[in-house]
Amino acid sequence: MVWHQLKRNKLALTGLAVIVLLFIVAIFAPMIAPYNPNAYDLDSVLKAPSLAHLFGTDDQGRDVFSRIVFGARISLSVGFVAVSIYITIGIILGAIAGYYGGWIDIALSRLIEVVICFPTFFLILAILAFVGPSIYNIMIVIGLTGWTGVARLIRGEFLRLKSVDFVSAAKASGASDFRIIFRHLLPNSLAPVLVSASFGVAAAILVESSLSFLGFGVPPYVSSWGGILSESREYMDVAWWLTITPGLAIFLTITAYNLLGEGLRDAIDPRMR
Amino acid sequence: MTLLDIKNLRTYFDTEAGLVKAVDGVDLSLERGEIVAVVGGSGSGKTILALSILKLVPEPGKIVSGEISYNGIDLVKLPASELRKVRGGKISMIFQEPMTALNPVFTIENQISEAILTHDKTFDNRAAPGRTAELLSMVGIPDPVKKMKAYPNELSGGMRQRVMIAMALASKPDILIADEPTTALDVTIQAQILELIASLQVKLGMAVIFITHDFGIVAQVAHRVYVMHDGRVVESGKVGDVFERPKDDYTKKLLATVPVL
Repeated sequence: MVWHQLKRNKLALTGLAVIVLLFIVAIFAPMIAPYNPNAYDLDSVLKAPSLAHLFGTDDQGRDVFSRIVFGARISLSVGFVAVSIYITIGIILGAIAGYYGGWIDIALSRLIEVVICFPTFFLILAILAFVGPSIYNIMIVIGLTGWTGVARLIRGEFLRLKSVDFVSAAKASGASDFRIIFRHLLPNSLAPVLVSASFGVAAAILVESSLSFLGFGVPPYVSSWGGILSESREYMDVAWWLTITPGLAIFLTITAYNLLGEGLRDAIDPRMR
Repeated sequence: MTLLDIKNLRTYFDTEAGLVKAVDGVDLSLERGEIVAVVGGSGSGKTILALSILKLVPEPGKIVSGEISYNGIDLVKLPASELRKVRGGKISMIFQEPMTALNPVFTIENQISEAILTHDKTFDNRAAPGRTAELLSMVGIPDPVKKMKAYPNELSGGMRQRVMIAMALASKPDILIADEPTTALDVTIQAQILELIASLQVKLGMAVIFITHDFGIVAQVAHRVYVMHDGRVVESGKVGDVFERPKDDYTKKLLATVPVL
């Protein structure tokens, strides 16, 4: 049903196509990249784009196209793993709060409000300063700070669905709490989470790029889009391709996820039909 | 022994506007193979009485006193895990609104097999589809093997209510509680569903508690009737007696609303 609705939305389909393309690029990076992304070639430093180097080379003679292709792996995996972590946390806490209500709900709702109050980006910067920058730490930290939105969505949906007839019917037919939560409530409340996940992946990729740009992200020898962008600062006036290409890659990816997210939101919103 | 014996049941709602005595000292008995109707207007407490039997009273409602003895076991005092075996296993319930009583994301087969597998351990995943089709054809759904692959939104209201009945009967319950099962349906479908419940009652030998506001329905299906008003039973007896010689004023008023044909 959602897919049927989504098919008519050209922008969302374009977003989906870009995302699929990015995944193909990330998975087959070693086959697509013409050079080793970390191979220095001091004979061709800061070369403009040409047939030999599609996106030119950087200050150490590394092929920018290959670095961007490998950078897709970092961005997509950070986006996916981080969002998977926070969706899991959000679903569990939101489900408990929404289903059991009472003081459990009050306690969890206050916890959500406290976590929302932290300025996330600075919290992430602070934590990474302690635990050290690595791709795994970024995933975990984004995951541990981003779950509040999902928890609120699930809690709200559970509160709404708890009094719906089929849930009463399930209770009347002897279903356990576990069964009611996982079979009757959760499948009926996942649609808004899907939308939130699509936006969430975009946000996580942006956070990772920002962190890498600031030097708190992945180590410099790993090619990531934010890292390439960061290194390009010194050469902006002589090597435009160093700034434009990773910038465009980030822009395209974020836009694709946001378009897909908006398309999904419209597709599941009955008022849009 | 009486199959179900409710004694002095009180279910109160402690709301901000004050204490609401939804069920206030009700006695009701049900014998094996009997259809008993509970009739009353909106807010008379009949639905809360039905929900109390399975201890499904919504917050902030509570059973404050009384006894609901099923085969000699007091359901009020039964622990939650034991109660779950009774719910849907020994005592099943069908609801007023068939349009929303089925989970929209699973097929009919999926939901009926769930009901079968929860309560009857003699069936496994492979035997469940056959039993599902059997139940659907028992409630008069044509082409059950094809229909059970359908999602709830593909069926009409009358069909969905039949599915609900099939689901409720999956575990061969002793008691079926039907809470206004025909109110949301149009008149011709109403008659079919009533006929179906009456014929299944005879065929399966179960007892039925029929909750309704419509004395016309009481006359069609029930053996005995309890008239409820403001949380109390104001009159009870054989349907014929109550119809011909109503004693209570409220019963007379309810009877006056039945159109004479």
